[in-house]
Amino acid sequence: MSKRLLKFVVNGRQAEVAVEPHHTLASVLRNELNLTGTKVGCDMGTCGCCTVHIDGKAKLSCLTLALECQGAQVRTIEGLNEYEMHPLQRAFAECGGSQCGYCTPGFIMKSCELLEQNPDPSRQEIKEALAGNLCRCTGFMKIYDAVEQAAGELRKKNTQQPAPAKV
Amino acid sequence: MAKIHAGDCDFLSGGTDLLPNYKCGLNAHGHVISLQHIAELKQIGRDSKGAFTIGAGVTLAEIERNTEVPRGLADCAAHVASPLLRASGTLGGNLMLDNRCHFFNQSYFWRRSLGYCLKADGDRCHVVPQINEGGKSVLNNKVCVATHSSDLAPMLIALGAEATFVGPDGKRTIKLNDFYWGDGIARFDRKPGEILSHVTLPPWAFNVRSGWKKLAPRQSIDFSVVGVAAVLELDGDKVKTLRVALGAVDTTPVLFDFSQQEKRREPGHYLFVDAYKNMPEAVGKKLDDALIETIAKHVQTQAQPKLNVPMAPDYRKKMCGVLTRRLLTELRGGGK
Repeated sequence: MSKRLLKFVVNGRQAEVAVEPHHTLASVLRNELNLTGTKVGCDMGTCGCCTVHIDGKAKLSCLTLALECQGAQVRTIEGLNEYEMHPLQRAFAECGGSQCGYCTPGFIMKSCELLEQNPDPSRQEIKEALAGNLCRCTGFMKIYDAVEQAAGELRKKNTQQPAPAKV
Repeated sequence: MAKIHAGDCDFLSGGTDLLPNYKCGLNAHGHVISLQHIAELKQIGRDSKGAFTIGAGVTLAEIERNTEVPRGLADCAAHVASPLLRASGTLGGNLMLDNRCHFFNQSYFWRRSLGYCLKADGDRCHVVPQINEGGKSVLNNKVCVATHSSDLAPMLIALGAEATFVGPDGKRTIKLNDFYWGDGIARFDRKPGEILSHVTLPPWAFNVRSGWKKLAPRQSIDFSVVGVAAVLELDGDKVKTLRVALGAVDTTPVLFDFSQQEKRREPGHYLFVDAYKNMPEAVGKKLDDALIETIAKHVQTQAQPKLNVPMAPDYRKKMCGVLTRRLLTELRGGGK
């Protein structure tokens, strides 16, 4: 089948790629744009490793056809913060929320969406939001700790300075 | 486009069921038509005539967060799969979920090692290997018994929803209960090139108590292995309306309508269940523990789960009764 031109915005930058109509967003991000931070675990929508933000919503890139993102704003783990670690990334490292690290990009992207919608989530709300992400190393407790720590840090940061405009 | 490719196309909305099946090489078609950018399919709310409609492209997350829909429906949508899948998965996709089976939802190599199955590429069913034909036991190469695992379908059927389809031959509206057929392959009455446009809830669905209980191996992600939807209206402490629908125990959702005895339109049928056989009288009676027990027992007796999804059939059969009892007790107390 012939390739089609896909124009979309990835991490704030305009991207134009020729893609096969049957390729998923995950494979285009990884293979065509070399954004290998997004991982593919089960490729079936079960594990949540491949989570990215499409137009501000956390979605599974393994179950999204690349051409569905025509004109969309896509944000991957690489686009979280350009020059320094995002508070979530730092908290995951400090709390031990990441061991083998394969599921971490998915967890961080989903928690990032949660904290944007709800800056002060309870433990139960964090658990429910992350119910679609699987981690086989940490046992989840350290991940929940990390999200709580990052939420505190982000709240502190946002009270010190006016919140930056959301992309 | 749908007319040109009728017979060799699939419609893609959320893609959370279709794409995993395509990745396993399960009945993949030559063309996939995306419905994702049709704004008309994404509307939820009251239309100009005051009827409450939910578009086929509304995501499960939107139904879950909507404050106007009956509580049972919002609760049901909140228990489908995981938050990530609900962000993409749509109402239409959930209602037309492909039936599931141990011998079907597997990789190509797995299925090849067993000689495929009736539902994909093969010529026999491994779950019910033989059927009775004219008094003789013969190879089952006719009936697929794959389980219908949709959660929203039984809930909407219990709420008496109607489905509107649009296609090359125009528009038609049918009861959602009549949409399903008792066969794991044909599954439902959808004509080639036709799409579900929206589901309409009747006005009485907003005056009744509704609820949903689900049994699944894990609380999130997994498909239900038993789903019980119930709609209850009380007149004082006496039953006025009672409709119970079961999901994931047959090839279609099964409705037990204790008040009207609503039957499925021909040729739609159930494969194994006869919901109205020896059905206990419930309307006009006081909904006490004994009546709830009788209703739960009837539902449990009629349910016929097969060994084709996780968990043993006899356990699932028992849980049909247990969940019905719990749900009705909860609804009697006013629901959530």
